[in-house]
Amino acid sequence: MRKKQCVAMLLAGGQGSRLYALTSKVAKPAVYFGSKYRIIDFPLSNCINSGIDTVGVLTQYQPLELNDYIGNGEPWDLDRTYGGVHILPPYQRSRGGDWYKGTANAIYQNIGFIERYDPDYVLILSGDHIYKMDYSKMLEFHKQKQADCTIAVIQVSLKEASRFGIMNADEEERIYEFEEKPPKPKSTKASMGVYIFSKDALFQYLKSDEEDKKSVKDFGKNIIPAMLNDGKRLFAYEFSGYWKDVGTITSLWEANMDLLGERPVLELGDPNWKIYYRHKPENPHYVGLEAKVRNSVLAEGCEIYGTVENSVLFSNIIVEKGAVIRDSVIMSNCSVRAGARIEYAILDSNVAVGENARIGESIQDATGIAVVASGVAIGEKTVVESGKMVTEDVK
Amino acid sequence: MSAIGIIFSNIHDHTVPELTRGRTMASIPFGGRYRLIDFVLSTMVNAGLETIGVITKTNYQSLMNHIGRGKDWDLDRKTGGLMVLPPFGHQDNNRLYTNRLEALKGVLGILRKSNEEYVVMADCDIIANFDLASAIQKHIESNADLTVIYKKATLCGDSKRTNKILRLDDSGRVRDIAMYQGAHGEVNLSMDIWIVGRTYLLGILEDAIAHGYSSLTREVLAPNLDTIYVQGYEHTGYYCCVDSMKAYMEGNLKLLDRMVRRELFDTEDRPIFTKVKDSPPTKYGSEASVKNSMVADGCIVEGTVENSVLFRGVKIGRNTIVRNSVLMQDTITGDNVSLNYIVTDKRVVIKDARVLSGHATHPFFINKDSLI
Repeated sequence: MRKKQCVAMLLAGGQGSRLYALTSKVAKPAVYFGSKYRIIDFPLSNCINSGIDTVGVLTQYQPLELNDYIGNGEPWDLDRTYGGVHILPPYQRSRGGDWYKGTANAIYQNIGFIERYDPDYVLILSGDHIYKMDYSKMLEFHKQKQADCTIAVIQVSLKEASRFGIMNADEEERIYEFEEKPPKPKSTKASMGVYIFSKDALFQYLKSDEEDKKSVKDFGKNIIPAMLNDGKRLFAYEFSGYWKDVGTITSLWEANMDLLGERPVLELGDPNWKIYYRHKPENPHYVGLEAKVRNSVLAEGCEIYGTVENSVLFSNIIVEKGAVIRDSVIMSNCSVRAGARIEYAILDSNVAVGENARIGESIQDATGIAVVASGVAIGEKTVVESGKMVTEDVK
Repeated sequence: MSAIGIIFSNIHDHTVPELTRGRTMASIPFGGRYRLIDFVLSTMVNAGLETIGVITKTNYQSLMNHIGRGKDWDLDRKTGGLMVLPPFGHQDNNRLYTNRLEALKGVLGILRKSNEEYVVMADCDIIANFDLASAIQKHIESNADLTVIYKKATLCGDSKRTNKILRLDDSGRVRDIAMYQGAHGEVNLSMDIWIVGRTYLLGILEDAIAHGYSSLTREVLAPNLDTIYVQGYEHTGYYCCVDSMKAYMEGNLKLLDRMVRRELFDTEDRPIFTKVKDSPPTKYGSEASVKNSMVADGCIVEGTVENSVLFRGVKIGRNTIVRNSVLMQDTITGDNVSLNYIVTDKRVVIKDARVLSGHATHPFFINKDSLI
């Protein structure tokens, strides 16, 4: 049997319930990001750019759109005769079958898939972060440390640290303690949700965890603590660079805004680390005679006749004359009619905003981000207050 | 209905020598993110054609690079799909073909082997998006030997291409074909898109070869319109022929017209496909001012752009003013640059404070990879 050194397993089954309306019909990894992308484009592109060409995508919650989007993996160069991308939903076995009961159980149920490639290492990823990372460097580190498990960490501020899983490590970067959301953090090394396991250690702990009736079958809560308990070699691999958890409305908005500015914090134009995505055939966007577009990013197919400032616009959006969009994220196929005003808001795809409607309030006065769910129509002169979430048509 | 498509990629290369110096007519960049062949190739794909041969002659590296195995047009197929047909060298005849008839002679084998009932032949210098499937349907219903697609056009005599002017009778049957350069006035202009039964085409090709003819239209069709039934099919939508540098420039700037964009791109069932590049979105700086312009992905705009078309990856510096220009892929302008009626080929770099201008009728063209 041919062998793959490292197989990636991408956990894409989560609902992402803190994104509320944005994930009511799609899984979190399928959520749109950054004008052209979906969240899952980042881990998938990282994989191929790191030389990992075998990726299992574990799906469970609302998988249809995600399945469609990933398809045969061709946009990420992951259509391979040996390896490539594989969608792995839960399935029936001769002796029963079950939903994925947790992150560890999801991988446990797919041990058979991993074994087909006989890898030495397994990379575990999640579909809720925006970052550009060379996993091959982390794998080198893992090998060099002869680790059983390496966990990617990023420095966060002490104040933020209590929101993350914190790794306490010695000078050799060996982890001696893991604390989930500690009220008094001892270090600022936050887990990025990226793990490399040596295969044998992973399988051993997945199997024993499966037998543990009290376990909730979670990497952070069960597998990692059990390995630490047994004195296994766990190391923290420090990553420096852009990394953002986009699990909440606010963080998703912030991450989109990170594309803007003189020197954007998140740079997507690097020809050596492209983020790949599935394309739709759209023409270049058009900016009209009376339009104003400032400090914004736009995708193809847009027709702009109004004002767009400090915003991220996806493809095929029409902004009519006199309409104003500020500090907002507008996803594909939205239409914003004449005189409408959108400030500090996220509009999911296919939203129709009627003439002179008003969504959100200026970023200074707003109580929060206004969110409009996919396919909703906002009637003429309708007002959607700041911080509100709209999931049904408003007249 | 099943049809095989044959596209001539080089046939009118001489009309825009600047743009075809290092490429085929088919691979001339157009409209921000396309190459000319995208329009005819997408039209064929959208009509359900699954076998398409692209006849090449010279300079076809850029074309191969663009179309590859046809993946982006969904033509990467086991049966049929996209075939690039380079000139076929014979032991006794090593020269390249010089006309359409000889080019077709080189692909006789493919036409003979194919199972399709009809053949659609087209060139690459026409920009249009129309329903080819219904044209083929009309052809079948009319029982014509050939159908030619034409456009009622008003010409002003500045075309560098040999125009085929049709005279039709009331039923739409073609009664006369005149071929000459510099036609003007209101005419029925052949778009050189032909629909013909495959066995019928093979018949006239073999006959033409036996007689040593060199032009299909001039020697085979035009003199025999009484016996050969050629039906005209009028294209009523937008049409543009890239037959001079001026026409190239105008064709690009025409895309700034909303109606033209609608006709070319805004049809759900007939998208124009092109090679994908995974460019990031286009970024507008805080001082950017863009008016009446078409901008592709991957651009960074810091200055002013008016009445222009920017291709993928173009960078416009601060205080730079670009007007009435077409800047191809990866053109980079520095700060305080001024451009008016300029066409830059790919990867042109224009350094700070350069002032360049052409004129509406004579756009100033800058070669690929130039540094100004």
